[in-house]
Amino acid sequence: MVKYILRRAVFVAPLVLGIVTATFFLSHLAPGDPVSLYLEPHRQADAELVERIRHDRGLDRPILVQYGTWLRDSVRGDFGDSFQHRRPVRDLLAEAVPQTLLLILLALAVDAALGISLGILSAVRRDTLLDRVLTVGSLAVYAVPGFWLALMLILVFSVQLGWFPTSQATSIGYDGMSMLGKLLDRLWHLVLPVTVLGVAGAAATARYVRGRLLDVLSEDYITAARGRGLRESRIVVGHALRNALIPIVTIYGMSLPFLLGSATIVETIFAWPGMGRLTVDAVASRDYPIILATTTVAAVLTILGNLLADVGYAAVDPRVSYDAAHGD
Amino acid sequence: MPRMATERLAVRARALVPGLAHWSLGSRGRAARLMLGAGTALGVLGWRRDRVLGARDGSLDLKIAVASLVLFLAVCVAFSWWDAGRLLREDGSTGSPGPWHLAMRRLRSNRLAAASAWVILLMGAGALLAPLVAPHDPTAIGDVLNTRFLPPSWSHPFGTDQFGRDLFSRALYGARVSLSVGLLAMLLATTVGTLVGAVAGYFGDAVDGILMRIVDVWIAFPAFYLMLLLVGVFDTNVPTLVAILGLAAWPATARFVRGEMLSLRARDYAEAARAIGCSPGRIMFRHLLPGALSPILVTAALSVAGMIGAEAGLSFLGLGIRPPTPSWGNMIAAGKDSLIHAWWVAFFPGGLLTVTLVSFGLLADGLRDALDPRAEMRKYV
Amino acid sequence: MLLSVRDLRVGFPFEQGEAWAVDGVSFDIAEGETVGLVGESGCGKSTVARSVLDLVPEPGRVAGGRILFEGRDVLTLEPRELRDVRGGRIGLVFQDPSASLNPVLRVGDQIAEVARLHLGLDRAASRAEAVRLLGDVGMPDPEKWTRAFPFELSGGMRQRAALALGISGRPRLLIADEPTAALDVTVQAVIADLFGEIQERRGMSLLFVSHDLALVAERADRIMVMYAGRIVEIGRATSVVSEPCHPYTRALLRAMPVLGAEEPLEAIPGSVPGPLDRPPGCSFHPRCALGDQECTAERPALRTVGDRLCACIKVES
Repeated sequence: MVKYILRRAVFVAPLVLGIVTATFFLSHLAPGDPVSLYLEPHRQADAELVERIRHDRGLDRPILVQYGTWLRDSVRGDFGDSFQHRRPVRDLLAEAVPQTLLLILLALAVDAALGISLGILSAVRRDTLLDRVLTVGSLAVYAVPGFWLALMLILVFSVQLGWFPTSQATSIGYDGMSMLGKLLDRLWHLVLPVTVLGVAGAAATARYVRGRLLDVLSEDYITAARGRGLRESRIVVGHALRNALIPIVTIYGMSLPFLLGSATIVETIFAWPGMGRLTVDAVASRDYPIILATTTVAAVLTILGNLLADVGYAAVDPRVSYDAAHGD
Repeated sequence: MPRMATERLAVRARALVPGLAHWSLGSRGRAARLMLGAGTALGVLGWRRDRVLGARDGSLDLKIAVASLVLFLAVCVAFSWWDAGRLLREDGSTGSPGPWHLAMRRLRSNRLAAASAWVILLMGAGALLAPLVAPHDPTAIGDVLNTRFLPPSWSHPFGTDQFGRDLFSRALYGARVSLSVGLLAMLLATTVGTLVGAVAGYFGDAVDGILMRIVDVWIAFPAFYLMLLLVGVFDTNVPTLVAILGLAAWPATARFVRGEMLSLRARDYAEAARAIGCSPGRIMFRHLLPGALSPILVTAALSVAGMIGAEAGLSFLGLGIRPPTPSWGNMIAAGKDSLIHAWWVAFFPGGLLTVTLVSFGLLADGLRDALDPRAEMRKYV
Repeated sequence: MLLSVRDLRVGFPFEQGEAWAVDGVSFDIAEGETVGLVGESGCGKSTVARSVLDLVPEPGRVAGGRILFEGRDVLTLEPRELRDVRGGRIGLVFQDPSASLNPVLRVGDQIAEVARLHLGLDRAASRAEAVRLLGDVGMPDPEKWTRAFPFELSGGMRQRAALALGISGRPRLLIADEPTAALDVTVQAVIADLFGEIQERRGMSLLFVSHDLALVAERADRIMVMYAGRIVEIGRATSVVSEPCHPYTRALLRAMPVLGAEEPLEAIPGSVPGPLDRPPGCSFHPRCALGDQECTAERPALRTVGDRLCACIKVES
């Protein structure tokens, strides 16, 4: 198992290298003097300052040297200082990334719980009214843009009903709460953003599980299990579901980039202090060190997600052997 | 049944009025569609005759709208003439239907997909003809004191915003931006993706290795982050936004077209084409790519939805299309702050956006079923 | 009689109408008897096999007839009682073991599950039963193989495992649906013999479905020949093979290679008609050497001809 993970990880290293290289060159795509990337926009810079930045940032050195420096620093997690916040980007990331991961993991949990159960329901009640409603409903929910759904949920649940807060990760006075109070307060703030982030995935999962389960239920080994007198519930749960759900591990691994993308918008709407909002704010104020850093981190997270999905797949599917290499 | 020459002439003459000849030839459904289409076009021209007559001095958008309407009428007449002639010659009998014809028939029998196609056509027509049909100027700031935040009514079907602008007109103009950005970005992503994928899959070896490593790295970036990065580097307007969206999205198409190519080039007919000395380009585009066309079409339909959604997301964040140019995304953003007392400002553009995205999703689903009948069969076998 | 099937009809709905895959089939199986059901592919024999356990695949349905097992109609049983019959009283083995074994469950667990359900064994006893069963079907080192996943077994071993699974509820009747068709030719005879051996040792009845008349002839007590949804001949295996009564059986035998035989093999002209385009009267008459206008009048019923039942009007009693 450890060997398997290591072997998969070998494929990851060049990808991370590629990512860091790509961000470097993307950052040099900007029209005009690269120094302008490090100058605060809309602010008159004198020649002396420009020269100082050029020297400090090593922009006066050959591009390959610059690339080498960028490689070394970014692998160490050193992305320079943010203009707006006047703090190292690394520190900002250390605060923001866990918040985003929390949001995404909970959204995945909602996705799995809701999506799988609705998918099963739809499949075992196939071609009934319930199934049709769920099928069309999931397609609609999947297509609803997250930010509009977020606004409508805020309109109904925050503005009209006043059940959930509209923004922030914690209430005012959070520091003075008891442990339990803190936990509840956090959960209370998580409900709406996690719902928005999770339901689209749940809709996709439900559609997928339904299709897979129907395919599996028509397999010979399911008829054979029926022929041995097993209960229908036992057949669905014990025999069909496991086969149907194995590929889902991969799907969840692949859904990470979409979730990271949606999270930027959800975080912005709910003023959630994660890396998505950090990025959007940075783009709006052209805070390049942050943009480059979060883009790199997001790509690395995606790669790690895929690695995790690969390992998870190997763990749940007995047919994948840890010893045999299987493509790239 | 043979027809007299004079009778044929009469049919031909009637064909100049779209649908009339079809009606008399018994092709009632097509006749109704032709009449409805041409009638609507004429109706719009008559209803907005003041704008049509003023088009010479109007904006380019208005000229395009009038021109496309006139062109549509001309196409209706031409099609009516041509198709009536075909009906006369063949007397209604058609040869054995080709695969595309069958696919279209299956698509039309899928009610959800057909309805979606109509919704998309309607949206597209509304967007294209916005300068003609919009009741108000989308950017004209009204009498702010009296017309701001008016709830939906007959004169303002979607209400007005904080500047007293008519939201229905803005939504129509917003559709122009959203749909054109979505379609163009899809075209860009599909073209680049198909080219790269076809070349990688066809040539294999080193070419494949290099191109696919690039795709691997590209795909590792969450598309939306890549867009944010590019939006931060470039100024955004419609053309750059199309480029940014298209460039962020092509690798997914490239990856699967490559896979299709890999399996197609191993087929016997590819071998045969090579054997008779066809050039690689000819083999790729004439012989192999048509075999991969169905999945490319389905992916393209889905990716339009993805692109429209991404554009709306960026514009919502204030990083895409910037006000005062309306786009559904920035209209929703504008409505965000007045959500409490004027829900309609965010609701209607969001609703249109959702309907559009759902329609493209259903259409893609329908296309998949129509183009791959085996998928339908698999449900039973 | 252990099993009596009476006038079974199974239909599949199509746009053009109902396709009768099984169109009025009646037969009996006695206690401890091995019966072979033979016919070309598409004749409905697999559908008959599955109907006995009310397992006709969607969207097909049993439209008529009775399936009396131990005196009770399987088709009218309560779900609970039906589950007791399935696996517990009647076992089923499918054609392709790589499709009929669940790929993600260990072989031993699949067997133990049935032993717990139908024999009421506890966890430990059911595991022991799984080991014993795998030994019974000739698996060396059965202890080890209980922990294996199906993909780790060879084709023949997989069918042994499937057989063990089929008899794990100690059924009185085992239905084997083409159990050797998906195997390598070299192991077909071995596996077919194994089925006979297990049948004898357990004293159960066996319905052996196959397209291979020779394979069945050597191992069955009686043979039933099926054509286009109907049984056309039933008789003792030895006499059906030596003196076929129905022209279709005769044609089947002539199309079968015989070791050392001089005369060339004769293929049957044409192919089995689909359930939607069967000719009127006897379905076989367009391909039959004896077929003529007379045969189109009505569908011949099974009637006694000498020592067997035969459905052909051209054959003298």
